[in-house]
Amino acid sequence: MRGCTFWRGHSEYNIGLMARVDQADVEHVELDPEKKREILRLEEELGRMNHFEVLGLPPGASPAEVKQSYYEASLKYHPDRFYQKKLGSFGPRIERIFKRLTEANVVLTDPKKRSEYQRVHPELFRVPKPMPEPEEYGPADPLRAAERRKRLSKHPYLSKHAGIGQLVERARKHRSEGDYDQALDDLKVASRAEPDDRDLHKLLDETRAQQTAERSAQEVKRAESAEENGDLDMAAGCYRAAADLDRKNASAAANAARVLKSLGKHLPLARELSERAVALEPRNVHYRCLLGELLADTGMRKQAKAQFEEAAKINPENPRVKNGLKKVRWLF
Amino acid sequence: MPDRDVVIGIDLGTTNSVVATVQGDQPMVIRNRTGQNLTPSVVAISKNGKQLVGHLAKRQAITNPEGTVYATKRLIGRKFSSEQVAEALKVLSYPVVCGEHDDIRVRLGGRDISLPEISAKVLGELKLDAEEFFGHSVTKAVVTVPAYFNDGQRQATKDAGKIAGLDVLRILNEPTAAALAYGFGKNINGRIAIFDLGGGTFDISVLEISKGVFEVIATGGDSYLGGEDFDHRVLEWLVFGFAKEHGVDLRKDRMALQRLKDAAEKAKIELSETKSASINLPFICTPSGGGAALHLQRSLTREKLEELTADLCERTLSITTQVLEEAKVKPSDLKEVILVGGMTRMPRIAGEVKKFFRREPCKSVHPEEVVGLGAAVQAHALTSDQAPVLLLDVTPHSLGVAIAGGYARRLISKNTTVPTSCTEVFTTSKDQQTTVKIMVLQGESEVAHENELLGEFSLTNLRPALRGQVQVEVAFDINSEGIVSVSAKDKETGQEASIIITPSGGLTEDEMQTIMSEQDDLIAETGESEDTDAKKSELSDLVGQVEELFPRVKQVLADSEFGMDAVKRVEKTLGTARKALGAKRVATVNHSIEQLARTLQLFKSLQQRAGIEVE
Repeated sequence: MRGCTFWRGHSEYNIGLMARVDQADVEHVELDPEKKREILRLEEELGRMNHFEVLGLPPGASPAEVKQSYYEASLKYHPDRFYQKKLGSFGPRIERIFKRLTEANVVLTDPKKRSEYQRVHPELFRVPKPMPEPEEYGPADPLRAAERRKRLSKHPYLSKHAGIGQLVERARKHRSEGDYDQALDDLKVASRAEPDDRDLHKLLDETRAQQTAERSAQEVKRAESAEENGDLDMAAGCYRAAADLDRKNASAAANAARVLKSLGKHLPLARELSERAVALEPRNVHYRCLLGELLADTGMRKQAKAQFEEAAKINPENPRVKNGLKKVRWLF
Repeated sequence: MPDRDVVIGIDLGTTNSVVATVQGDQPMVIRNRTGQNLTPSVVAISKNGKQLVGHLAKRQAITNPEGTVYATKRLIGRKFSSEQVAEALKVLSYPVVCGEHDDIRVRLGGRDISLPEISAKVLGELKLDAEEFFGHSVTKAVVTVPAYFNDGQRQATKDAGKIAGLDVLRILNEPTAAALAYGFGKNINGRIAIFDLGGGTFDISVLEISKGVFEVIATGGDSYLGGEDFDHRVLEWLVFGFAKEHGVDLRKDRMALQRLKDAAEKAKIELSETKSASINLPFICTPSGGGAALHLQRSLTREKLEELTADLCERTLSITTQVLEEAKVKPSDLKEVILVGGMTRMPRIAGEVKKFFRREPCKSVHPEEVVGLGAAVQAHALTSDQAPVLLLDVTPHSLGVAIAGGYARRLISKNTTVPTSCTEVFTTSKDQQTTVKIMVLQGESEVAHENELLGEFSLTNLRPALRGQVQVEVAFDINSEGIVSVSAKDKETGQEASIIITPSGGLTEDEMQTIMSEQDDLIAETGESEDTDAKKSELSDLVGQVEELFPRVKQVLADSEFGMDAVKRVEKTLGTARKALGAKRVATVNHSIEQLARTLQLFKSLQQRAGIEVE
């Protein structure tokens, strides 16, 4: 039972994650196997989660909700809860989890840090809140999910299996007519009653994607007409909204950055948006040039130079590239 | 009861100490062997070479000023050369010398004793009280320190625990402990402030409590502001008055100084209840040129005391204002204000606090016991599963590194919840710079040298390049045990260097070892060799008695809950006692006598109980 730690030195943390998890799984420590798995899973996901997800909260949760969640999570993961237990490699893991929880709490409850975070991740603060994912209730809280299913199955419209079939039919119809909002509403109700139906989930995801694409396209249209009318502030806002709705839309991001740049406003934000555009389409010379110009404008000349050089590799003859390179060279 | 379940909390105070535990889900103070809740933090070597701790030591202080050590908490973990120590030495009645590495030693019984050793004697006394209470050995404890203690002072306190044979589970901040005791077992949600003015230090902390989670929001204070300073003001007033009248400086006479100190404290305490106190010190000195002895006789009013100490009171409030501002807390946001420490009994202090917070301070806690109780709550929380309380503590000082131009760059700011970590990228400041020196600093100043240097290390073999081109990533980490580690990495090559900060409490590792191996040497050194023989015969007598009873008790024990565990312990005690018979040191012999006497008592009571059961 005791003394059998396979490895505990900090130097060993650099080995591959898979090997790490396997080894940790068989490590003898004073923790339930369930708790061990929970810790391993959580630790692995830490890097991918945003501050709200870390605390198990929906995007945009209020500082008071954040604080409560943080306290609840602390009761589970504060190292003092495992004091004097033989933890082996789990000691540092628990510490990392708690530090991450603290970081999320600090950022989301400190007004200054929260608004900074909101500036960088506006999509996490959109009001009204983005629709809660059904998955959020699913595996995370089986008791509540079961209870909800039971309640829904008693619902008069859903009491029979046929009820769900009808809902799905209606949703398909709405969808074909382009009314994605209505379609989504129906599908969500159906999927909560039938959480294990894969086809239903697929349909839901597709519809949701269509809805965002549609909304994003609408925003782009509004932005374009605003730009034509010379309302650049409005145009920038709409392009940005489009880019945030559909995070894969490189052109919306680039356009938002371009308009912001011409306005000379929110340059760091513009830079981020153009960075996103470049990340989505690394071979687009225009996007690279835009990013380079924005970097130069915000005083990051070295990075600007790198962007123009990249752009030159793709198309050395482009006048904008040449001009940009000249500019940064001249500065040095 | 297995030993691992028994844990105690100790409030090691400047003037008084308290030991407490949690029993039946309730924190309670363990009375000392003289039946009192408070044990004076006083250690003395009497004229006949006996070591005294607590009440016995305090009682003989006036007649033995040079052999009585008190208020060492104000000196512990400090440098001998520091300003505060120089100031404190002016009014100490016991001799203090400088140790080998600028640490402070007390000259007592012909030896120079380190301060952790002195504190260890107080802790040891409290440990014995607890053992008496539980009837078996106690080793695990949480010990409190002022929130504003630095790493060195904390380490020195930890060392003291170690010397006293205690496994110090955690060093806990006093105001935090007070909050734990206040909120334990109650369903309290909201923010509270703890105003802690004790014998030597002042602390103010703000905590948020929610469903058993105690989060420290902000903490601050002054480790050199407390009841001793108030006493000192009264003492000065007495001394100057006397000098004016008789032209004699009483501070030059250690005995007079001790009497004055005592009288000043008594008058101050009295004035919390009355409007005026009279101070009578007959025969305070005899003039050097001959003539009749002089007497000191004065009366001190509450107003005069308040006038003498007005600036001290003001200082507590200005620190409080600052801490609340840092925490972005308004007095109206607070649910409760809790007064801790004997000094808060002074009506002026309580009144000012009430005015500042615009509310009546909480009266439900005992200002002098609450810290000890809180320490017991935390000790209990750390060692039991699913404890009802969790403390989210913070680092009381900022941490950073020295940067070009002699400035300090803060990486972890004070009041950050621990454990925590932080990284920041620095660049070289000179062309062709191949080495960076990382100096780890603790403190709030923007100027590097005004902070405390915790440690330093270098990262070498950097790529020679223009300044600003080589990037070095510096990472700070404070783990859950409060241990700070710092590393620096060349971002390009991945080359790394790091340091784990080991704070020094004034004693080196070797010195600690020596002390641990020759504990209680104090008495042996004072030459009681003729006494040793008498003690040894007492011990051999005891060994005989225990050995006689042992076989009979063994049978009873085997049936009882203690089981073989207790039997083993008795065997061990007997073994040590037999060895002690051959030892030269009185301390060893005395220790065994004490242990055996306790064993014998246990045997007798067991026998009695067994006897009754048989009948």
